[in-house]
Amino acid sequence: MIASALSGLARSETSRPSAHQLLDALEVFTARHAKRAHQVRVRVADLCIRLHMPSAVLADLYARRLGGAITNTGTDHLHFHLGEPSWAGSPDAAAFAYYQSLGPDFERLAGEAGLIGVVGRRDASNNPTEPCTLFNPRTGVGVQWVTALAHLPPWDAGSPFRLLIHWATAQRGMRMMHAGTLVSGRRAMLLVGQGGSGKSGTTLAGIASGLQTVGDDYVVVTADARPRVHRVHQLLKQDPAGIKRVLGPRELEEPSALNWQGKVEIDPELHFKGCMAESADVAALVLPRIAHADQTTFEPIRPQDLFAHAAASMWQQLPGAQKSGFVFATALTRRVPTWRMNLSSDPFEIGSAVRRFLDNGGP
Amino acid sequence: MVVAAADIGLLEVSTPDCVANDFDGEIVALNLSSGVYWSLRDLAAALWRDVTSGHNPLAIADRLAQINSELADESRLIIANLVNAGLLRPSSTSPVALEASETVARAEAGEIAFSVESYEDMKDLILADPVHDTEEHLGWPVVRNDNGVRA
Repeated sequence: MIASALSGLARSETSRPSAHQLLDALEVFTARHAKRAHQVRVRVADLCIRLHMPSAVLADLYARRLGGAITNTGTDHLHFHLGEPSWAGSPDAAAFAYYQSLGPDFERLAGEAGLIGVVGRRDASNNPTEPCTLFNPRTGVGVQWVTALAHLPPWDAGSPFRLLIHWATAQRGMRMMHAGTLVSGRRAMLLVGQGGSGKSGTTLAGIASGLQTVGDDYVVVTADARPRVHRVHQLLKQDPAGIKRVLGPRELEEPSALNWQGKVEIDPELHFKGCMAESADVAALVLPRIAHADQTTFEPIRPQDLFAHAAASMWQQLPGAQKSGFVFATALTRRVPTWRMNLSSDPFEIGSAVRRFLDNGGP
Repeated sequence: MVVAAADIGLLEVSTPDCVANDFDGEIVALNLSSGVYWSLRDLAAALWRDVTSGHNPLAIADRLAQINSELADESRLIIANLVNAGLLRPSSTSPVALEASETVARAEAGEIAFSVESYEDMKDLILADPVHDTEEHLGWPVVRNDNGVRA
């Protein structure tokens, strides 16, 4: 069955596969893959996700980076598959090569099938920059199809299933954002802004000072009257200079290779045990600024001005659900106090200032 | 101060209080001070694109009047409402439109609908715009469910 569902897809542009065929291919693949894959369950933003992975090693790695495997019984809200179609029994991987060649047409085809899907453009090596990713919002089943696991983009393991989590949480009225976070007690500061503004450095400075974090890359924020922020990935990314600035002469216990951005990826729990929080109330939206000041200071900033500086990180970077993302981000800036933080050069002074801010409810 | 349509000249987006974006032809605009969201579709979206790219709204209304006087009246009313809602303001520069008016072209082609809606509760709007669960031809925020469509 899978052969017939998939073989009909490796066709020329003139015989474009139908939406129905794509839906069939998704259902057949996931049914067959679920029988062979290594399964592990994780929890993100109060959603139980069953991961169906092609190897035990990948299952363990992705689970650890999504906060660790959970063992409790309960309903699986979502099923995410990562795999090669041929591994699941498809005789014709070219069918997926065809999907990968569709580009924006793949998004349209997925939409016609009631799915959301993207496939990245080709890189210099002719590999897609984003795996062929599909999500069925009605069933909560999503897939990342790759013709070979070696073709996974280098950032995939650093932020596993980020697109599927983004779409699944958007469907539930939540929003995945690109932000750093620091937590004291139950109150969180959401650090937003452009790349290089100091989000990750401030997060690392904070946890080195004893604060907690919900993440420094992607987090999920709810649309409640009092918004909450949830952990997505348990991994911090920091450039080597930033690591050295915070840790000083202390060496990483397990030095890591640099990732595709030239950053070190570290499991913060290995170095700052207890620093990861699952969720917290969003007490402030903060736009950090590397000021090299003697002391870290906070000043109120109008929501309009924060939005103008942080729109990209708050809603523009992830494909799909763009309109709801825009509305969410604007509403969040109106609902939560907005501040600019002028950073000093001393990571521990920054950590102390953030703790005072969170514990006092302001500067 | 409430602005009358006849007093309006060249306009621009009232940044930073107003943020707006074009989503596949639909304009979603928000006055961050008031918290009211506006959704503009069809000719209303075209009108927004025209006036924010340098077209004089009064000149557009004059052209529309040659097609259908009701279209002209409606365009004047919408522009006055958008100005009074703090989304558009008199332009501080004198932009020159480089393209012909989209509103006029579409009206000449037979379009007559100016679709304008405003909302105060963002949560409903977010939930009404999940991934590919929106009935596009009926417009946001109409939600499709298993039994059909509800508003």
